[in-house]
Amino acid sequence: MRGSLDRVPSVLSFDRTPRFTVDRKVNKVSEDIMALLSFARHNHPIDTLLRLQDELEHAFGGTAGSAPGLSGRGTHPPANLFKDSDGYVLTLEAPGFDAQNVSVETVGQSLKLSGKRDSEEPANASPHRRECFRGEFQRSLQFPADADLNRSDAKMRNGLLTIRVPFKAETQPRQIEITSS
Amino acid sequence: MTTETTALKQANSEETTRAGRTFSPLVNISETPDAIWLSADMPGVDEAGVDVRFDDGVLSIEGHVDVEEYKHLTPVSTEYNVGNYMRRFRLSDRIDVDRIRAKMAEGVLQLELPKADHAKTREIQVTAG
Repeated sequence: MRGSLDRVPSVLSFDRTPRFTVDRKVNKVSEDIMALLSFARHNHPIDTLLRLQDELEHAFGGTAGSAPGLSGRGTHPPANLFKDSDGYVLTLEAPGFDAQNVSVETVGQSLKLSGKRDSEEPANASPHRRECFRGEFQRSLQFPADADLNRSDAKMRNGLLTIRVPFKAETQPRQIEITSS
Repeated sequence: MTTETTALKQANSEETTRAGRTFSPLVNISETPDAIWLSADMPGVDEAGVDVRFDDGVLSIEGHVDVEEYKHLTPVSTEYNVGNYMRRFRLSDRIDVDRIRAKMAEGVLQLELPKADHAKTREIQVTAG
């Protein structure tokens, strides 16, 4: 099991596209009905499932990308953020994603990633196991103030998307020359 | 439709002597009348770093990741760990092992496991009389 063992307090805030959109809606409707009928809401099976999912997510560090939730693994590809002497390095696991089907966009200090992965299986195949991410994802990452997103570059190699974001020049230490008059 | 899933039971995982962490890659398995299709997600692995073996009915998939480029990086926030990949499956003898084909693209290993001729579904003519 791949967990997040190297968890460090996050500088980034990971906005995730809502999971279980359909389920939540179903839950909402059933909740309303339940409320009308004055049933004990917490006994509803969907509530129980959602609560269990929240607990699981909490237990595994609250990261949907790497935690096995009730929806199966990975509702979006997981990302790592690193730092080196020049700036930030963001890596996103995107196996099977074509570079043409991935888009990277910057708005202010946030980076928007979206992509689409098609199934590479033959059309007439019947599935036996489905563990890998398929479909579309979208996520938005907020970078710290010293990240210069305007000078960032992205490359895709072996199913890994790597985005380099240099530090802003003005946030870097600068030696000031002293002149003698 | 044959239930080939039972034939592709995952073999007991074994310990590795290779340095570093090893993860089990996520797989999709599907079936067509002629073959079993297996794809394994191994981001960071290129065609030189992948190793597919078939030995004594066990299909082994291994992928090696170059962790050198991570050495000078300091993690800020992490959602996944980096390491090698390994997973094993026990195949039935109904797979024609000599015709297994493997392809590596965009960090995904794709395997085509053709069924042996005697395993293919055949329609049997029923005659009256």
